[in-house]
Amino acid sequence: MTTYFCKYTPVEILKGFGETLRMPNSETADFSETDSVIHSSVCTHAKLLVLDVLSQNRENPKDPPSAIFTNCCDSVRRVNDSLPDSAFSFRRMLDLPHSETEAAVKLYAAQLQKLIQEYQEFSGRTFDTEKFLAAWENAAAQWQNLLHDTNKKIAVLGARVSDELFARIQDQLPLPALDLTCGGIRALPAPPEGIRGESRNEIITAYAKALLTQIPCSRMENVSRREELLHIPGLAGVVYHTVKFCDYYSFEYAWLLKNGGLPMVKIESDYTSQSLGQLSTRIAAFAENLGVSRQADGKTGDEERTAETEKSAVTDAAIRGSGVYVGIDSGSTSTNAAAIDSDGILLASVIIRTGAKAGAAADKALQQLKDKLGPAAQGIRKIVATGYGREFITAADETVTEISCHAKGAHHANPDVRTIIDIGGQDSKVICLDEKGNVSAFVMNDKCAAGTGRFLEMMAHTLELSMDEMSSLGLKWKKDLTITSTCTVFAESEVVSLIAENAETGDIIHALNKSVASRTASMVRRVKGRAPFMMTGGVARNEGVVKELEKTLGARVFVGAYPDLAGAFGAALFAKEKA
Amino acid sequence: MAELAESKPDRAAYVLSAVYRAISWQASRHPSKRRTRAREYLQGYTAGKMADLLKDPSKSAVVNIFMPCEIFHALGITPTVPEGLSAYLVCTACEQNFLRRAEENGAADTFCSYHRTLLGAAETGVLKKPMIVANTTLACDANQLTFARLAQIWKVPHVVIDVPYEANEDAVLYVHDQLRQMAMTLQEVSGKTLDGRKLQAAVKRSMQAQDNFREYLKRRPAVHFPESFTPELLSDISQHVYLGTQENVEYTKLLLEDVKKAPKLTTQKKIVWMHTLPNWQDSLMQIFQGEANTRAEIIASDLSYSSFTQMDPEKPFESMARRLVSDSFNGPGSRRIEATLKKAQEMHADGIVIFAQWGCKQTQGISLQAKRVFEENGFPTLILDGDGSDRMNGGAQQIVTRAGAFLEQLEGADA
Repeated sequence: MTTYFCKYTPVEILKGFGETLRMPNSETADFSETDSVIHSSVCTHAKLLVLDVLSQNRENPKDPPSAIFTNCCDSVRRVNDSLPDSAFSFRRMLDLPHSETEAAVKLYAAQLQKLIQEYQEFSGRTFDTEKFLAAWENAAAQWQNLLHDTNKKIAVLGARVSDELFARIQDQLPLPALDLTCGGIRALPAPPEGIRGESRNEIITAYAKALLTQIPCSRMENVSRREELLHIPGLAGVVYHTVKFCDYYSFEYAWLLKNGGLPMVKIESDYTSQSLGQLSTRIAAFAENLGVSRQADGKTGDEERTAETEKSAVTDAAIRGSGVYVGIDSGSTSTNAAAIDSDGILLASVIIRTGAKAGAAADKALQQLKDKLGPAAQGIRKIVATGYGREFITAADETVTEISCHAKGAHHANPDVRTIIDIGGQDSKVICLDEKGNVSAFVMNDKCAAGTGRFLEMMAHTLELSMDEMSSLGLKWKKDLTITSTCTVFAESEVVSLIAENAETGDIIHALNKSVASRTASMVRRVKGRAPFMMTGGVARNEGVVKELEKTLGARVFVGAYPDLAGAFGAALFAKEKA
Repeated sequence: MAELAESKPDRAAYVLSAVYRAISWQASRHPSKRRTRAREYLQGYTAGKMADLLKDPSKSAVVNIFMPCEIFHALGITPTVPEGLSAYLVCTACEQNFLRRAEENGAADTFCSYHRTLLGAAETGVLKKPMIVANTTLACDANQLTFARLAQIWKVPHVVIDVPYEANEDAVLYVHDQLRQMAMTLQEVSGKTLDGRKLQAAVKRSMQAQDNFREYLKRRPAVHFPESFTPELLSDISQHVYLGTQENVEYTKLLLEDVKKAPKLTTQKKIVWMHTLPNWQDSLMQIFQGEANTRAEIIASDLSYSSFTQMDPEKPFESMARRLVSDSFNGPGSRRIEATLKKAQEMHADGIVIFAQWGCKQTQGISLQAKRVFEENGFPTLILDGDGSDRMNGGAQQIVTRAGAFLEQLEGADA
C-alpha cells in the first residue's frame, strides 16, 4: 500500500507494479500532534499527511509506509522536508513541472522512468506494462463516462475535500455531488492509439504528457482549461471548497463569482470536524435556494411588537382559535423562540441563554413560549427550528437554515431591504436578497470570532462592563483610537495596553466598534451587498456598532425592535407556509 | 492615504510617488551621517525607482525577487518586486486598504501579505499597469497566484520561468531555454533589441557585485554598523533583482568601503537572520537595529547570500539559469538550512532568527527543522512569527517580548 497525495502522481505506474494506493483524506479531531513536526500555519491537508505518516509508524513501527510525493505546493515540500527517511520504507519526491510544454513533459517523463527503476529495486517486482496501460485506460474512461452523463449534478470544486465533509455535502444536496477538487476525479486523457507497439520510453513520455495535460489544478502555469469543469453536462451548481492555509483556490472562487454563471456556495474547512455545523448550514441554505423558488408573501407586517401588543394578540388568537406557528432559533449564545398567528402577527416571544445543551435550551424556550401563549398554545400547528442547534430540537417538525430564516423574517419586516447583516454570538453573516426576498448571495465569517458578538463579549469582560454598558458608553467617545488587531486574542491585549495607558473607556469601546464595523463592512463588500441594509442578531442592539457600520457603509442601517428575534420569526413564517 | 487610495487612486499614486521621491532625494543629496554611505546610496536609488514606478510604470516590469533581471536591465526595463514595494507601502502606513482590497478580490487572508499588498495596490488602481509581469516559480506558491492575477488585472503579458526542484544540468538547460524565450518576449513588448554585449556586461556586473558582497560578508562580523535592519532588506534586493546594474556594483563597493572603515563591534550579539525583515516594526528594529545602545546586530540575512554562484559572462543565459537553479531557496529545505548554517559558522554568529513571515509556507514550514539543526550545531535559534507587510497582523508587544527574551538567552550564555 503506497500513500500518495496529488492528482499528478503516476498512480497507474504503481498499479503497473500491482501496488494498491491510498490518499489520506479523513478528518482529525485536532492537529496538536503535528505541532512538534511542522509549523501550524501550513496547509491543514498537508498536516494531515504528517499525522497519517506518524500514525502508520506508530501502528506498524517495523513496517513504515511507502509514499510518493509530488513537488506540488510549498506545504507538501515542507512536509517532505519535515519527515525523516526513517518514517518511510520507500519515499520518492517527484519534481512536478508547472507547465505542459514539450520540455516539461520530457523532464517529468525522466522522473517517472527513475521512479520505475527505483520502485523495481525497492519492491523486487517487475513493472507490467499491460497492467499499467489497463489502469491508465480505466482512469481515462472514468472521465469520459462523466462527460457523457447528462443527469443533473452539483460539482464540488476547489481544494480537496475530506471524506466526511464530502459525505455531509452529499447528504445536504438534493442532487448527486461530484468531487472535482484537486483530490477528486482526474480528467486524464486516454492513451494514444497504437501505444502498445511503442517502446517503454515512448509510452512513459505519452503518459507524462497525459498527466501534465489533464485539466490542471490551480498550481499549474496555465489554468485556463479549468473552465472546462463548468461545462460538464448536467451541472446545476457548484460547492466551492477551500482549505485553511491553502491559498491556491480563493482567486478562482472570486473569478467564478463574476464569471461562473452557476449557483455557487463557498465553504472553507480545515480537516477537523469542528466546523461541520457551520458548513452544514451553508450547504443546506444553498440547497434550499437551489430547490425552492421563493415567492414574496406580500405581507407588510412588522415583527416589532411590544410585550403588551403580544399579550393582546395572544388573547385575540385564543378567542379566534386561529392557528399558531412557532419558530425556534437555536444560536450559540441565545435560543430565541417566536410564535405568530395565521396573519403573521407576533403573538409571543422568548429569549434565553443557550448554555451547554442546545436541545435542553430549546425545550425550555418552547415551554416558556407556551406559558406566554396560554390557551392559544393549543393551536400550535407547526414548529420550525433554525440555528446551529436546529438538528437537536426534537419538538421541531422541520428545520430550515438561519440564512433562509433571517431572509424570510427581514423581508417580512421590511420588503425594501436588500442586504441583511446578522451578527450573532459566534458568527456573522451578510445575506443579499432580491426583490422577492429570495437569497441571492451570502457570506459568513470564518471560524475566528473576530467581528462577532463573542468578540464584544470578551472585550466587555476585559473592560468589566455589561453588554448594555458597552452599547451606551461606546457612543460617548472623544478620542478616535484604533484597535489594530482583528484577532480577538491580540485585540484583547491591545485593550489591556490601552487600559494601562489610562485611555477613556468610551474611546476604547469606540475603537472596538470600529473594528467590528470594518470587518463586517468588508464582508458586505465581498458579497457586493447594497442598501437598504437591515441588521439582525444580538449585536444590532449595540448602537455604537450600528453607528460605525452606517459610517463605514455610507448608508443607514435599519434595526427592528427585536433584532435578535429575526431568525426565530423567519422560522415561524416558514412554519406557517409549510403547515 | 487609505481613503485617498480608495477614492482617488491617481492622486494617491501621485502623493506616494512624491513621498518616495523626497526620500530618494534626501538619501542621495543629504545622506544621514548616522547611517552608512552604502545604505543611503541604495535607499536613494530604490526610493527613486519606487517613485518612478508609481508615476509612470509603462517602462517597468513587476517581477518576483528571484527573477534574474540582467535581461531587463540590458533592455532598459526597470524591474520591481512585491517585497520591495510592499516594504515601502507599509512604511507609509497605507497598506491596510491594499490588503483589504486584495482580500475582497480573492486573496485568502492566509496569503503572503507582501503579495496581498502589491495586489491591493493594483486592484485599487494606485499601481498602474506596467509593461509586463514576470515570475519564477521559485521560491514560493504565491508567485504563481499573484502574477497571474496581476496580468489579469492589468491585461499585460505574463511570463513564467518554471524552476525545477532538483538542481542538475537538465534543470539548468530547461531554465536556460525559458530565459531565452523570455528575452524574445521582452524584446517584443518593449520594441527594443537585446544587445548581446550589454547582456554580457550586465552578467559581469552581477559577478562584481557578488564578489564585493562576499568580501563584505567576510569582514562584517568584526565591525559595528550604525543600523542593520533596513540595510539587510536593501541587500536582499541588491543580490537579486539589482544584479546586473551599475548602481548595484557601486552599492557593493561602498559597502566594502564602509565595512573597512567601521568601528569594531563591542558587546552586540551577532545575529544571522532568515527571510525578510519587518521594517515597519520600530519596536523590533530598536532591538536589532545595531545602534550603539542596542544589544544585537543583524550581520547577514539569508536572501542576500542565497544566490551566490559562479557565472560566466560569455554564457549569460546559462549563468542566470544556473544561479536560479542553484539558489539555496530552491529544492529541499535542507539546502537553505545548510546555507545559513554555513554562513553562521563562517561569521561566528551568536544566534539565528527565523522570521516566519505570515503566509510564507516555505519559511514557516522549514522553521522547526531549521531550529533543530541550528541548535544541534550550537546556534541558539528563535522562530519569530510575524508579518513584514501587515501591521494589523499579530501583536507587536508579543514579538518584542520574544525577541527580548531571546537576547537575554544569548546574553545569559556569556554569564
